[in-house]
Amino acid sequence: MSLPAEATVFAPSTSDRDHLSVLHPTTDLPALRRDGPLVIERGQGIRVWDEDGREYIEGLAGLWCTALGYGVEELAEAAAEQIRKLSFSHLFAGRSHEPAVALAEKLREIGPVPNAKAFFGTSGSDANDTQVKLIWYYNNALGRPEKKKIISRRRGYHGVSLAAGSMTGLPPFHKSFDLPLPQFRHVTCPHHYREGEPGETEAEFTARLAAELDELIRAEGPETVAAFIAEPVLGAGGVVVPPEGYYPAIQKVLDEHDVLLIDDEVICGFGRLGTPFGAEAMGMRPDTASVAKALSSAYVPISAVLVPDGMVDVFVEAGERWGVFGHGFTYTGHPVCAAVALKALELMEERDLFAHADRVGRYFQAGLRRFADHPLVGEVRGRGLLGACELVADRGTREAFPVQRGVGTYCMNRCLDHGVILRALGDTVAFCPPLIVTESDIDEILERFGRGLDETLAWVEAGGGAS
Amino acid sequence: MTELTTLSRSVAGKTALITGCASGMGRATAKLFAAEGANVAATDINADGVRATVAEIRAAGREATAWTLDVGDGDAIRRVVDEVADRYGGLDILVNNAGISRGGPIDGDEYEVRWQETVNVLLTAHQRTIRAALPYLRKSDSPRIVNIASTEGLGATAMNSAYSAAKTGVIGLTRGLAVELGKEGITVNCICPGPIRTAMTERIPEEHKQIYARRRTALRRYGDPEEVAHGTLHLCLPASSFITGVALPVDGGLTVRRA
Repeated sequence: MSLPAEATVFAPSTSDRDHLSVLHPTTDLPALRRDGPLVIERGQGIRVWDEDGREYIEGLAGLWCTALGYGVEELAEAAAEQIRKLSFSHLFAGRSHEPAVALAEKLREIGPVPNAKAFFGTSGSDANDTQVKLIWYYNNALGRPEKKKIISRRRGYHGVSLAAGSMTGLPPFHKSFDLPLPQFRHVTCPHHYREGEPGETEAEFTARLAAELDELIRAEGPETVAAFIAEPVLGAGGVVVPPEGYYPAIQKVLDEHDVLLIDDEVICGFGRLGTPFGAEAMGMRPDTASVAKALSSAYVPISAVLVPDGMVDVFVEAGERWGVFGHGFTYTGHPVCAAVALKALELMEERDLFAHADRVGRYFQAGLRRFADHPLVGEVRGRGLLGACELVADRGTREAFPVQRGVGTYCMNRCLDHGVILRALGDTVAFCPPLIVTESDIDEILERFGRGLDETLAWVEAGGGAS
Repeated sequence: MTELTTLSRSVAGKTALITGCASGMGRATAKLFAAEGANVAATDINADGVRATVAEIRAAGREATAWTLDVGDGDAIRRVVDEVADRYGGLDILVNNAGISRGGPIDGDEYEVRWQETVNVLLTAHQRTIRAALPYLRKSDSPRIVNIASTEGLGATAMNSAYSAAKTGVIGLTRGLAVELGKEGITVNCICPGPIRTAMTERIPEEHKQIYARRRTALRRYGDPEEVAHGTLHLCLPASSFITGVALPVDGGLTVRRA
């Protein structure tokens, strides 16, 4: 609760109260207990303010999601209007409502999967869990109950729920959580800088990864492998842009073994890479896709799985034998979320936001690459308005810093001191500003980052973090 | 064992004027002084509240009289102080306790008004009561002035700058007068209460009081008004004759705790 100003003396701050009642998601819990939280109080445009009134540029768009920025009145109005008109109705058992239908139509029109129907959820995680369940259901309906295994990539990020967390390829999401589940396999991350052999060209690297996938499918038995899931550009795993030709090579293997390609557009969707969807930017031809985050610019929680008509026809046929299609959430197609998402997509169209993101994305990528010669920077990478700098101990050998030095986290915190919120993914510092950023905003983000990076270099040279 | 002096450890028979007695720390102070045998002149802007405090004291067989007093009114202060001295034949102890809390941001629309109210009640009133009481205190054989400041005069909480400024001013007033009046044997001290269960903090939910106290104070709890009253009583004892000019935190260790 918020106290009247008169009562704030001798009352605990929000950060004081936080540790007693909140269990934080995806957090270094001992560090949180030691340092306390950063309490964000309000936002406007690309900026947010903390409880002490300090301003920050949101350089990571919240969690890669606030595409239209903060304080968009039209979205607040859309929510208010829908809440007043019909605050809740559902899509179970034949019920429907206008906002869900209108949003599904819009996604059918612009989405990366041709002729697709939308199954709505509330997060990228549940969308990707739905993907797995739908594909299992699909293969059961087609009479091939063995075809269930899902392949993803190490360092891929697809969420944290049981199936999505199994597909995620990052150790903190597996170890001690008894994941991945048995039906999940992982292959090499398409990151040439880290995974390429000495002297190996990108083309050779791509061929090797395609061969690895082919060998894995053959070893498992193609009749047991259902799908391959991929983010067009890997996000939380370090902003990894696969080499040119990677997806066509992978796609060839998948086609050969009748393995579906699930396109995880949760971060890349809606203009992030400078194209409407990441699949177009990266040359993917997905069978199904998951969208979330920017779908509503994170004003409300909503996700969607885009499923081709042909697959839905199979579900309908199966229903004749099996009865009810038993998958759905209370908030599937929530009318308020759908109304807000629809308005967000309309605003993106009105403002020609994808073209804007393409234009400023090129400016951003050029600006970010100016750090390529910085003594701490091993690789600068990215596409559109998604980017990263990987910090290394030795630029020549690409040797990483010891994990326990926490160089990436140190840099992230210095950037925070200078008023820009970025995200350390290990020692990779990630950028994902709201799509509404201007060129001068980008200059400001990179200038603040530059100061944080220089301070990090001084700290590293002074032996900071070394035990 | 060395012989102790015969300095009195009691306020029995002394007359104490205490402002803001309808609730909280003022009420507790009035009750404590009366219980210790002092004649208590209790004032408050809340007539019913101060009468209730006095009724409670009298029911216990102790001496107190109620005055309705808005300390923002300088004329009223002079009138009440004279009446108190007249009623009890003098004045030995003055406790400036009455207070208000008016928070708000520095750029808020109501800041100017809140500043005026705050400074008037928390700071200007103190010098006015002191000036009105001074002729009588000078005749006392153990004259004591205690101003209630706050830990907000030692540190500060955001959005309460007027309050913090006024309370810091109370500490300065205390120090200035301790030096100025010291040659006359009048001691002037102040108490800096921390988180205390009073009307000012009653809107903070109990759960939040506990979080605050556990995170910020050494004793891990809010204080009670009576614990502040005991600090005040101590400074008013004839035996506390060599203590002057202090700002005594009664805060459960709020101001000394670092982590």
